[in-house]
Amino acid sequence: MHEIITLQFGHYSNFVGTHFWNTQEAHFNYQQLGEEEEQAPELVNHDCLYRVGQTSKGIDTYTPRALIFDLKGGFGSIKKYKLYESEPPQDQYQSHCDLSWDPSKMETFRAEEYSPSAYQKHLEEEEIGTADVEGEDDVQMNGIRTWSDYNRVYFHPKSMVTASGYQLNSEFMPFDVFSYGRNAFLETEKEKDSYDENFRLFTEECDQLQGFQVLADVLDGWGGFTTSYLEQLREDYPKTTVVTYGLSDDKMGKNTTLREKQTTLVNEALSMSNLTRLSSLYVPVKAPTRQSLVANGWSKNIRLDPSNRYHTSAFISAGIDSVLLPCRLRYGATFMSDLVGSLNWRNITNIGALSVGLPFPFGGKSLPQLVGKQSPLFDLSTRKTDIDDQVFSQSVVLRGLETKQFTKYAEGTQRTPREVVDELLDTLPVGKSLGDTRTQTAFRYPIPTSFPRFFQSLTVEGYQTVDQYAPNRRDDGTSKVDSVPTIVRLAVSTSTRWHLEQLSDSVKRIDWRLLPQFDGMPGGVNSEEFAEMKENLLDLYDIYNE
Amino acid sequence: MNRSGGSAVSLINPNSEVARRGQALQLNINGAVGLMEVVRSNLGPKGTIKMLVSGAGDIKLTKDGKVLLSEMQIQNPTAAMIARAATAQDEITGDGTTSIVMLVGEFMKQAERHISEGLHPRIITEGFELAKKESLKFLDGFAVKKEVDRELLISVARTSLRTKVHRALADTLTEAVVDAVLTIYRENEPIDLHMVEIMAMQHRSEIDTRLVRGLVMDHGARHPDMPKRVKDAFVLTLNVSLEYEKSEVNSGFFYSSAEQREKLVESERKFVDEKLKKIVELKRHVCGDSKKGFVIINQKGIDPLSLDVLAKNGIFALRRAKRRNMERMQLICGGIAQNSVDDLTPDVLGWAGLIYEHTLGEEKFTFVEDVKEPSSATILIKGPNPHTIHQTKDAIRDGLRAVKNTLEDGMVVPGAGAFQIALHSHLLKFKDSVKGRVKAGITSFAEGVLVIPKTLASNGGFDPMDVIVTLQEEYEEGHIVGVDLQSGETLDPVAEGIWDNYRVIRNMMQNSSVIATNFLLVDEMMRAGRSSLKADNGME
Repeated sequence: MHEIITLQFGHYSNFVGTHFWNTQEAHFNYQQLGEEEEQAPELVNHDCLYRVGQTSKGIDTYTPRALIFDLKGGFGSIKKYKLYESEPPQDQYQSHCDLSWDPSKMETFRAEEYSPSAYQKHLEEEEIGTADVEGEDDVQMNGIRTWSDYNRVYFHPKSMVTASGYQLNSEFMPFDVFSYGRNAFLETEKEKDSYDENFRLFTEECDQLQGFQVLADVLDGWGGFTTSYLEQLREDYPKTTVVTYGLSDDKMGKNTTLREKQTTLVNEALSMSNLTRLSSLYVPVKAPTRQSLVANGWSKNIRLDPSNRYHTSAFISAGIDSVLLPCRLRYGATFMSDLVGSLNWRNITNIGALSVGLPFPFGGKSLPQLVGKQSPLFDLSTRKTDIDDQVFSQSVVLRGLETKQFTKYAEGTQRTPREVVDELLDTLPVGKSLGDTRTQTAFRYPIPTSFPRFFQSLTVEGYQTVDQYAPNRRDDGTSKVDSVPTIVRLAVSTSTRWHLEQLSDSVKRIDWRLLPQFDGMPGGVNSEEFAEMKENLLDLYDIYNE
Repeated sequence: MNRSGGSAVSLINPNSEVARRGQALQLNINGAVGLMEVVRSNLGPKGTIKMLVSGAGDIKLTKDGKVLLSEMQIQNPTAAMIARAATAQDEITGDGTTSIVMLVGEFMKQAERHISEGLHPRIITEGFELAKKESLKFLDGFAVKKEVDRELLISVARTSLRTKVHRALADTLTEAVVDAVLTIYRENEPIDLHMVEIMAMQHRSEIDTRLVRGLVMDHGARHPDMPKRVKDAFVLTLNVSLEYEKSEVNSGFFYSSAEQREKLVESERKFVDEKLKKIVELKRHVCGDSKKGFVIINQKGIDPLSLDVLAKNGIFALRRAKRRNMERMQLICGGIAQNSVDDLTPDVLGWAGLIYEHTLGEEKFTFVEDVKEPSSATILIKGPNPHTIHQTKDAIRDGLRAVKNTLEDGMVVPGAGAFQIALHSHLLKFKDSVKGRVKAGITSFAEGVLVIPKTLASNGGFDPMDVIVTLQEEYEEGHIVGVDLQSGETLDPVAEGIWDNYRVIRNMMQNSSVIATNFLLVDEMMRAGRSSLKADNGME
């Protein structure tokens, strides 16, 4: 079965995770379409990411192998038990209190109702068949407040765990310190035993677990929470592959005062040092910002709003989905242990860098250049690159394009389409051919209706077009697309040294005594641990700076 | 309130909002009293149940102060801090959260009267300190040293449980909880409540909750040909991986051809097969041709090929068992858990009379029952829906704590408000032995503790003043009396078997006075300012 279990720690991680799961669901639809045509073979083995279950009423379910952690107030309008509900809640509650409670002895406290988004309402109407005939594409997506507003997927009730002790966006007790996360982990396990009750449900049923895919917010308390969770996981799964994406964006850490800035930095440094130790591969991922978009001279096919988490998380999700696509292919899969093994062939370089091309610009006069200023590959991991950077290993996934589609670019040259593709990919240099994994598949990245409508000048299949009157052009100039070709590159390279250097330099100057909030509680970080982390970052820096 | 003079804090941080002196105190008192009003109606067996509906519409039913305080989104900072401190009590003793909140609120309310007349809070808190010390001394005299037998434990557990869940359920749980603790109890050894497993099944009604003298696990065999019901079985508890695990290091590298790869896989597979062979040999050795069963409980994984081997040999195997179940299995079946298969002998095996699997929807359960002398047990919760199960689980945890406390304390305190009535009377006498203005603090404290019996009475639908007067009169005649919530009259908690935990009451008195003191002494409160007050750091 080669199962992959996904763990999502934190609010932004859940933004990304939600897009990820919506895409998986779109993969199913894509397949069904193929079956009608009675040809397209199943390219992806969905059982890697999904599990088969059954409710107590005997209804079969197919739900993600996922564990979603968020703070109280972070789940929005999502109903935990919806899929496995035994009876309509109203009757259930009434019959229950008729049986055991004197109704006059019952008081109700209603939290302010979290009104479902327009998109959620539409999905619900669709389910009961009262929706307008018009498609989901007409539903307003402007008012997205949180990840559950655009979630299309039913999760198993045990997939959702609320961390104890903190509330989302609380001013009084913010969840903004690494140590708070470790503390919240202790509290959560004491209260809910999530490792035994939730996590084990998903692991026990796996026959051939490939590995864990972890999404974690790293600028706030979630870095600490994830660290504690993975420490516990490693006791039972010392050798299993764990790929961790350390996510950050401008909204995650506070940056107004010096103290806030330092706290955020230390959170990031502690997360980096600990999660690198606990993961087989750690990939820092920073959401695109306005500056980084401008510097990239990018891009004519996508209008991404960097201040909108709904947008940035979609972009990141496209990368994460494609990176592990080779591990989920039905035929000729490269499993996680092999993929990570070839990326980290030196066995000491387990920090990776992710770059994403969404969409892969295809259909124009010439092929894009993968290096240089005009490259469609947007680097999400490294803050700075240099011509001296050396790539140790990489895994490139080019999807949505078959070799024969390159015929056009081979015409008039002496080369075969195959050579054209190879030549294109050869422009991404790798030190050793040993660590160069390439995956090319015709399977385009599907775009569900929950995806931000930020593409422009594309056909429905996601190829470039200059047609001003294309039928899939919306009034606001964006293009309605079903799927797009993408290119994703996960690399291990010396460019990681910039990130390590910057972090290491910044924390070096911090006087630990001025940040007492990190210590003084169960799960706290003391000065020795802080010093150890600084050492560790320097050691890592040395590895990448050669 | 002198704001023009400027507070020290605002000198350091000009953006802070500062509340001073009387204003700060008033804020604290309001917060404490507000919180008290929220939990007031839960106190006692006649308290109301609260239904909490989340923003998404999920339901939670509770009557437990601890659960209520941690589920509610408390906005007032004072209230939130009191809630934190009070829930810490629950961690130490398992009960008394609601009472602490009530006492803190009432102490502050009582103190307010004197402070508004011009008394300095420091004098009140000095009185509190004296009163607290005297209360603890009095409690030691008032508590009853009793021989701890099953009957007493049942009384204590019942008293605790009836304040958490409805009567019929409380009575079902009482015996289960007491017998569970008695199963794991060894004289002069600390009690580890983790050795009682609590397992939930969403099925039927909560009244069907019961004690299993054995272990219930939330998973089953993962092979269709494994026996589903085994009698007279040897039990092998393992922490050994029976999975083919590719070492992560260099996995893709040391082979250059497909054959080489095959070879590597084969040799690693062989390693697992060797382990299986040893297990199967042991099984053959102890079972021979008899009908005896053989069961493996493994903390690590077992892959399909290994399962196949085990199934062919008639072995029932569970993988990925909870870590704690390794210890529990040994306590239930005997035997010694093994970290490797190198020293397998018949001595390491445990025994169980019956092991069987039970399926419910997608969930599987494995029961290990009919064991000789279990020193671990399982409470199997049933309930029609998640919120009933949660509520039952919370109640069981508290019940277990109450029983454990009693066993460890060796003494109990007469309940139903009897202690508070007696303490009030004692403190008023004690006050006369003290000189000076601190008397006011002692009076406040004494009046404060009456909030418990008063609230018990009013939640029962009786006039609190009437009840208190009746109780006090009877106490003065030399009887120990509590509130009878059926009639509104007095009752004798000793005769009725209404007992509270000694350590719960002790912690309650201690903590509530410390918390109240801290808040009374606050004379400046500030909200740290930020230069740009971004209203929302979530979505835009």
